Amino acid sequence: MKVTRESFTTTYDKYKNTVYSVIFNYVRNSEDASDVTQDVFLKLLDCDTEFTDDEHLKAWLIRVAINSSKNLLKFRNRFSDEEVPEMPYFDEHNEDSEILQALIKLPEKYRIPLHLFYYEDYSIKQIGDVLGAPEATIKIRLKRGREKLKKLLN
Amino acid sequence: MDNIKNQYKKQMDSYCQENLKLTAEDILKATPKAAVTDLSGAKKKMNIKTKIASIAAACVLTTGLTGVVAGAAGIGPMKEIVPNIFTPKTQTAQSDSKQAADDKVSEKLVDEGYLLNINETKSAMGYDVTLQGITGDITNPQLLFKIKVDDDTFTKANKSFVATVYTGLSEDAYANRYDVNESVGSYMYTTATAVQDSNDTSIYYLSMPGNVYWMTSGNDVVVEFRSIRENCTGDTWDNETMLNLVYRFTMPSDGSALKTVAIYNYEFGETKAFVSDSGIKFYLQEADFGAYDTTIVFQYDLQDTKLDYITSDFWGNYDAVQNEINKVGGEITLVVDGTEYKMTSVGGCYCDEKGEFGPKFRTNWTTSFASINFDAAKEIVLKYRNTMIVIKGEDSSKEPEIVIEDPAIPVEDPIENPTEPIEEPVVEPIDPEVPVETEAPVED
Repeated sequence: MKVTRESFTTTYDKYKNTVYSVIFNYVRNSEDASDVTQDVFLKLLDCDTEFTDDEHLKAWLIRVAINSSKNLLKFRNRFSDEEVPEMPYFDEHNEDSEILQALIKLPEKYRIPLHLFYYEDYSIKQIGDVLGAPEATIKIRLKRGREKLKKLLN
Repeated sequence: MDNIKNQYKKQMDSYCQENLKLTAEDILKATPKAAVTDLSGAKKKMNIKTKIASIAAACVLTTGLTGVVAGAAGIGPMKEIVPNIFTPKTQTAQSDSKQAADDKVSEKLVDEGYLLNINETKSAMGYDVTLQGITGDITNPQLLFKIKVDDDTFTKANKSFVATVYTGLSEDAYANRYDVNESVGSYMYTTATAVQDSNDTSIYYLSMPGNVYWMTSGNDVVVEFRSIRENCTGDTWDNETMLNLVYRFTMPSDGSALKTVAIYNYEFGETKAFVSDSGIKFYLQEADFGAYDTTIVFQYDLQDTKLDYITSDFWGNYDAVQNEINKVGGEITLVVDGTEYKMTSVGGCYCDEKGEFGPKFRTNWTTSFASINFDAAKEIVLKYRNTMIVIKGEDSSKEPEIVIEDPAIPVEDPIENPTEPIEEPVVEPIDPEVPVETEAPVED
């Protein structure tokens, strides 16, 4: 299974939120998240990878999204003096995004596993694989992350 | 928890819908394939600006507009903005232009969309000098000039000429004429050869390295096209016309003008040392895998070596150290997946600081190799006699500070240090809402 220009639109529509949301969780900035999302899908168009199935494609996209986000953050830390907002702008009074607002405030090590668990329905094993961390570590982070999230929500 | 999970999903979907304005069509337009015919897709990375209410984000947009959105505004594909690029490296003599191949590296980078499009023309003494833009990578920004000369006598006599250029300074450095080598950057002008267009003899093109220290993301930069020298042999020339044309611009904060390449930095003594015949230990300090070349920097400490003040004469010491560096540099090879590359240049430095700044006087020297395909390389090794330093590969514990990412080879960059201790022991299964059951592993 290969993604071609012809099949791209369907693939994009299916996975755009998956890619954008994981990037947003790293960069916490909707503008950068859009830029990196574009980069990820450009890489998809440019790659010759033969995907075995949809799950393989999705895992590839998430992995590339994570790498791209980290590269952007590394680049920013080393080469840019510009002030990047630490937190995205939310309407504090908008209760419709209360959980999202709270989750995004968590440290990266908690919010990324929680995002993959909540949003992608990923198992602990899958999260560990995609983040390159042992399952035990992921379990602890999910547990602690959920506790911190509950505190923030209360 | 299911409630939280469902609500989070719903809220994230809603956030995506509101903020992700990018469409599949936008991305297809932005592919290089489309760039040739589709003006709106001339820049590979379009920088979709779905703004959030933030002043900082607004700054990104403003600076990005200079070079990034210009392509989408109808100026056209990169090849039309910069049709010819010559002379990739600095030359001091006009005769050097014979050796200068067309600057294919810059041409490729421009085609890939790495360009700050400036396109500003200034005139003096009958010369119209256009600073077309900046391309290159983060280790080598490249200035692209076009010079129009309406003087038949000049154009018939000169198929090329040497330009002197202050290649990028801060406003402060420029205003204060820091014209000695400071610890950071310098005000010394650089020379490079402009080459006549084969079709239009009134046009000359010039591509030359900019000042890497000042020309980084977000910096305000001043460039001065200082003069034109005719029949220049390096140290002498027949005629020099002073133009003193000044250009000011801001490097895009998002780094879009310069390609990101892999850079490794090491602490003194962190790697194995290449030990010279005189017992000097050369430690790897930096490895830059640039688009134009590969630059390796070594650091050494002369103290208590055989070459530690062998004479009371500065230049005697200088020559002795220089000879040692040349000998070692000439033997070092860069081995990439088994293919050996010889050095293309070596440049040393001797620092006579003992007694003045204390006992330690570490100094750097640099050797260059051809540019390599860092992405594709599985193993990159520096070799000197029987000593090998692994930069990339299984034995390397070092990560580059910047990685050109190849999605086919995912970066091994775990979320945290994988060896870090687990924060607390798992006493019992965690909340039943978090499934402990695992599924099939995700394939990369």
